[in-house]
Amino acid sequence: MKTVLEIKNLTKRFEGLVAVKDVNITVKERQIHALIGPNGAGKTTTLSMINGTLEPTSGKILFGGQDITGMPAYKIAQKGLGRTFQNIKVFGSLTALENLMVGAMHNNNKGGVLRMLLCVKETNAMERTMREQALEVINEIGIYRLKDEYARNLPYGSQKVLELGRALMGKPKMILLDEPAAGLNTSERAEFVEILEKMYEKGIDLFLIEHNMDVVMNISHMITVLNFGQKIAEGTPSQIQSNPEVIRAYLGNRYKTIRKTEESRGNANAGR
Amino acid sequence: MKNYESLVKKIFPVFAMLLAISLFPVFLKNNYYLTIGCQAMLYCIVALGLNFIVGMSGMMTLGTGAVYGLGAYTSALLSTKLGVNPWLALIPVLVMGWLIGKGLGFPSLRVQFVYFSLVTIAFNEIVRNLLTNLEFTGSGTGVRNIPPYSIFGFEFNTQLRSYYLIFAFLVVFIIIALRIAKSKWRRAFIAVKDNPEALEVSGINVSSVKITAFTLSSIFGCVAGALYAHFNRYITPSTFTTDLSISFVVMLIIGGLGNFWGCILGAYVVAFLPQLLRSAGTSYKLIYAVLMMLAVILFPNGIMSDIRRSVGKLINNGKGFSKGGGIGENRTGN
Amino acid sequence: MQAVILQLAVSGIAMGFVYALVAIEYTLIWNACGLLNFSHEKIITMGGYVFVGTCLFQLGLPNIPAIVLAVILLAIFGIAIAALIFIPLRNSTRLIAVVATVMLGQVINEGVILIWGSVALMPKNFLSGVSQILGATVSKSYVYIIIVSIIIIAVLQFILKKTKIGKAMTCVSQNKTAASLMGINVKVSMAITVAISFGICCIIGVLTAPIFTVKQQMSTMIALKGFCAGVIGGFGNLPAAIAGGLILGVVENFAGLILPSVFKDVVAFALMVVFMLFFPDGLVGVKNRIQKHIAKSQMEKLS
Repeated sequence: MKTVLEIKNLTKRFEGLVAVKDVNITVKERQIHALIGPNGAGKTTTLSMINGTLEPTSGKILFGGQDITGMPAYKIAQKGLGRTFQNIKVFGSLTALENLMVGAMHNNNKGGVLRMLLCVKETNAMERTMREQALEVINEIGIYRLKDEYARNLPYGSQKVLELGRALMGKPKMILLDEPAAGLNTSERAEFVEILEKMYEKGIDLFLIEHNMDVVMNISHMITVLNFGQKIAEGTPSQIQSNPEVIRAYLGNRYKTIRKTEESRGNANAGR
Repeated sequence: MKNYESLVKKIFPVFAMLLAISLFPVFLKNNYYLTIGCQAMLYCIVALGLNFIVGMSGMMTLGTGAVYGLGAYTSALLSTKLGVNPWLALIPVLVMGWLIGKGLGFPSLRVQFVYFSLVTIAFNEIVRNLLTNLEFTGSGTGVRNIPPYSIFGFEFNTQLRSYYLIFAFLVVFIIIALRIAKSKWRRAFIAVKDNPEALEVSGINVSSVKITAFTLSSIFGCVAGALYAHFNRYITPSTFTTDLSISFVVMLIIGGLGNFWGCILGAYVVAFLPQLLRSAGTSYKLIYAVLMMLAVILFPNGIMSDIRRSVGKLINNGKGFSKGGGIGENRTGN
Repeated sequence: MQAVILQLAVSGIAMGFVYALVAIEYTLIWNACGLLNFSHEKIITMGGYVFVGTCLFQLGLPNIPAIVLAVILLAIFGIAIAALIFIPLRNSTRLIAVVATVMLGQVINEGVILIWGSVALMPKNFLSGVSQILGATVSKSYVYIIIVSIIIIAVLQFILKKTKIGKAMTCVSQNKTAASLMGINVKVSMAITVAISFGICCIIGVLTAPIFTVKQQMSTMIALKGFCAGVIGGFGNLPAAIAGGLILGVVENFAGLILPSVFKDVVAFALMVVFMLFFPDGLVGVKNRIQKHIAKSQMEKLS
């Protein structure tokens, strides 16, 4: 298997506080990779460094074999690395469809304003492709009926899906998801996981941070565990569940037993 | 044919409004009103440009007066001191707009909201101070005897002729503004206001979007300034104060931020309302200022949004969109 | 030469104190209501007109009672404006807040023209004359500005640090929700802040009346340069604003020696733009950075 994303000795310091320390992660192609850890373990910081919104203090990040350390976020996004946020970031005063079309802009961004004004035909064609693609994606993520609503008026769950859709619009090779299931109710969460799986089947690799253990254990192939900015374990879901250090630091000793009882009740969504 | 119909629906109100503006001199032949009509159209051009920054991208600039002034001075000085044809002088004016856009865009990348307003005020004051004090710009007296535009010996030297010249420019700028408002650029500008970080991770360079907004806006402002110089025939630095910058922003807010119709409405209100209030006696300026203040406080979304809401109700009652054109007519009658 | 330098220094410091007062006056409102009062320029002018036009000329009061009356009138006016504009606007969008205060300025400006006319007024025998300091001839008004400003700053510090009202004002500026939970009436506290701010505006108008004479544009430059002072010092921080004002006043005056006088007013704005772009936190930020650097190097030495 080829390596898609490689993080080498990544470190981030905030004025004396070490948020992430010497983390190494290797994400293989065609995998759903999860990053878990207790609050304040440096997960979101790691994600932000990968997609370029934060600059690492030291270390290297390779995406598709190319060094992307310290590149501006928009360039990294153009290389095919999408991202969603923990606290939703949609464009409130644009409609849902327009939100998606913004996501496709960098693929259809030939020339500046002058070219747009002069080449009417080309611009119109580009606009049409963007709109068609957006309609396709909005159908896929299941909020077609809300396409002309302003994004700020959408319900929380739909905004979350919309953000994912915007990342999809850029035709990424990989999407970084920051707590995709947080704040969703049971049925919404199931729907979201379904969308994620569909995306994975379409050939997009996923790298996600998640607190909900059932989502993580169900869909991911590989899990990395962070604690206090350091990697403490890496492995398949079953390996992680039986790793004593992980259980001590994060899952808690009771996790396994709770999970067993929940499963026996047939409820797959409890047991955070 | 549904597409065609919707196109007609969209274009018809604009067309009706342009018709109303072009017929304006037929009804009011008075030179005084014509001058104000020209002024209003120039304001429209500036407001349409400013809309990209203040209305769409949500950045508060109070330096538009200086942009307008620099455009005016560039064209005026070139045509009086070097004898450049005013039409040719439009090229340096465009370059000037482009340069100002880049220059003003840069601080917008680094400083936050109110600080940015302060930087732009400082810019306006620096420009006004230099224009007032430098000998080469004619100091406090400004530039006189600016030649008018002319085509093959036909001079645009009367109010009526200038009116239609400015009208032609207005049509061009309205087409540009509408095309931008229909394109991905509008979405990018609004996205900058709503959530720059999300725009950045969508693969768009936020800095370049901001600078694009500023460049567009400054080019609109500079060309309007150049038109003003050749229409008014003389310019003084005392025109291009921070107060002028403020009235440009007020136009946008009165009309409704980020809205094409709002810009036009706002420009006409700001140009004509003080003149209409003159009949109220010596205190007309106070009344005007109070009205503007109340408009800003009571209708923070702009008067246009309220009109739209009521028009929307009428449309829903099955009266068709032609009503939109009707508003345009009323407005120019102001 | 020495006399010239001394003269420039005194007038620079005096103007610096004026800028500092301006910076204090809008920083108070900025901290309390979260909006920048772009109308302060007109309020300073109004203060000048109330003092000279109404209290001195119409009522014929002696200087000191006239000043007191003018300050009280402006403070009452401040409470009214706070109730009508600043308090309702504290939660509106920043854009509307900026434009609303700007429009308030225009309303006040037109009102001033209507009430007192657009003629320039000059108070007679008020802070006039010159005094000799170390061989330099210095206008008395500059000396008074320095003295009065120091008194105002001291009194303000006392009010903010020692009195109950001042402590409430500080609380409100730091956290409105917490302040209201602690039983502080946020709105009243804001109104008092605005009143004090307008009072200071009035004093600025009074102090600068002999220098600029009372007219419409008397305060345009000092109001804008007050913003520069705030940015140079560090926005929202009172001691920093004073430092920023003093530095600006002195630098500006001495720049006049080197540069042609044309550029005198440009210096302040250029300085502000430079600070905003490269030291966005002003002198406070620079100081913090230096302190941090020293602490870091000490840590490194220890370890």
